[in-house]
Amino acid sequence: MGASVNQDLKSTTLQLGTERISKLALMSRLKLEDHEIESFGPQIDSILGHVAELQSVVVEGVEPFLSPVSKMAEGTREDRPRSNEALREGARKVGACAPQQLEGAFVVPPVL
Amino acid sequence: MSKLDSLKSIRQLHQAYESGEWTPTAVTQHFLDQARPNRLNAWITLCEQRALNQASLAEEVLKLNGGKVPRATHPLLGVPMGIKDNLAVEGVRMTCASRMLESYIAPYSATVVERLESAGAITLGKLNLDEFAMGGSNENSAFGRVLHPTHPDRIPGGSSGGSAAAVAAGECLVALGSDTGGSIRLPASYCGVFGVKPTYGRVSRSGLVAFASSLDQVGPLARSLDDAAQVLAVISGHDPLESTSLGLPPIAGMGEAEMKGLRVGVPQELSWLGAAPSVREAMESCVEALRSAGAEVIPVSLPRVKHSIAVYYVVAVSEASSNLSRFDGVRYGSRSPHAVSARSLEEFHSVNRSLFGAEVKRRILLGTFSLSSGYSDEYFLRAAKVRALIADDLDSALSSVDCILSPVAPTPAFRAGEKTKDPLEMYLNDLYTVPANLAGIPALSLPWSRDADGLSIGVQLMGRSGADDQLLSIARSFGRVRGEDLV
Repeated sequence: MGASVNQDLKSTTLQLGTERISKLALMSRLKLEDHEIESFGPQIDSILGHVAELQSVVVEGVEPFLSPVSKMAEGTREDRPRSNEALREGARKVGACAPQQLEGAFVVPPVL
Repeated sequence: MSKLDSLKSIRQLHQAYESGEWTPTAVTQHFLDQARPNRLNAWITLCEQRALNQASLAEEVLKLNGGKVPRATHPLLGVPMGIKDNLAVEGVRMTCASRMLESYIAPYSATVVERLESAGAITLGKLNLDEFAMGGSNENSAFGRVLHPTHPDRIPGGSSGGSAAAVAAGECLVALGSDTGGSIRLPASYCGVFGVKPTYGRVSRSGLVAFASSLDQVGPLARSLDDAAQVLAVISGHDPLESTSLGLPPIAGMGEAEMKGLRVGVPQELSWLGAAPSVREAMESCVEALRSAGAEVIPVSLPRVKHSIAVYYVVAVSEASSNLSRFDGVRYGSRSPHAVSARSLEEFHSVNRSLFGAEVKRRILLGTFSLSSGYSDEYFLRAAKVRALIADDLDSALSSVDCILSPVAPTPAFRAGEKTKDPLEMYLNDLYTVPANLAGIPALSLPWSRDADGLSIGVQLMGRSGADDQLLSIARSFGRVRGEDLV
């Protein structure tokens, strides 16, 4: 995100501003209307203001908690091939979920 | 069929099937008649023909078993249920209350749905929610807000608001919800029904549309605790299709728990002193009743739990930002009509993703920020570390008490529109429910009292990881204190 992270974090009033919200929208692949950029800025600032309290917690030596199930619970299941028929049926079903498809392929408009 | 309006439990329903008083088809018709007008906007899709076909099959099963419900093979025979619309039912539309998936037809059923239907339950339809389960009031649905079942100007809670409202209003007997930060327990409390979030990993997430994968759990909402326990017994247990599914046996259900000598922890840092007066009164009456019944009410300390909301709104949004990146207008659901004129793939994706509603966009932006280069260590990673401390606090407290008691929410159901302008204020409403998700422990909401306006107030019990059966038994003893046998 460019700006000085340490400087930002020292402040509990981090303000992203419209330029940074627009950049986040680009990174998030979200097309935002002007009024959304205007309203999201102060709302996200307010949430980040609350989140800033985490900076005061001593976390040295603490392992991050990423999931209540720290490893794959039952290990990996056996990698057994399925029948061709099941695969064909699966491909048909997955294809049918798409907004546009042709003979099992996802279709998008020409973009190049 | 008027007697069906007072139907409260699966046990009662099965007795009526066995006495020949009611049939699965008549019961299904009754519930469909209740649901069809959609007075509370609780339903997004009804699958009437599918439900009636399942009812016919239930009648065949009854007939083949000499009119008795075969409880070993079909413990939920002929039980009309609703499914939150972020859980897949094969061949039925699954919208997640989003324009993004408005036309998406699920190609397979979630494991929990398969298990319920195999147990004989009847799927009436799909229930409204906050878009992609993001919200605590059910005001974020692209299909309109759900009304509170008795106070229509108020919210039913969220995100499983449709599930709670439909169960409370008698539009289905039981429902499935999902709970990422309180999404089963909050609406259960506001609507006056039972809601259980099991231990993380006890119930399969296969076929649940992911919001925050390390927090999401599926659970029941029901009019009786016994019904919730019966649904849990069916949906829990290892699922090879889900890599975080624990290798524990299914949740056995409720046993007996003695209130005398029960050690109930009351966390000083989740005090109800800041809650609404009616919630404070409910909690004080609960503590008094427990003490009178011989329970030991013990103060416990959870010093880092005060950071739960801050941790949650970094972790949950980060996971959401990653999980929702799959919705790009190529593989699933809807495509924006403006996408055809996109000049790049980036623009194509961005235009399609404008179909998300405001709350989802806000959370994706926040999650992208928390995970972005230069910030991820100080936001996502730090939050994950504080999460470890919160889990330690809860584990440590639960090693000295049998359960932890707290309110479910700081207020009874609030008025629609009251908190929509300030997302942070809405988020702070999850104060009591979020810690259980962060730690992965089981928690449930139990209706306890009503305020002067008749609004329901629930109490929350949190239990030890994996001790879901014990928590249900303790909840049953809470019911006895109030003079009710919840079986």
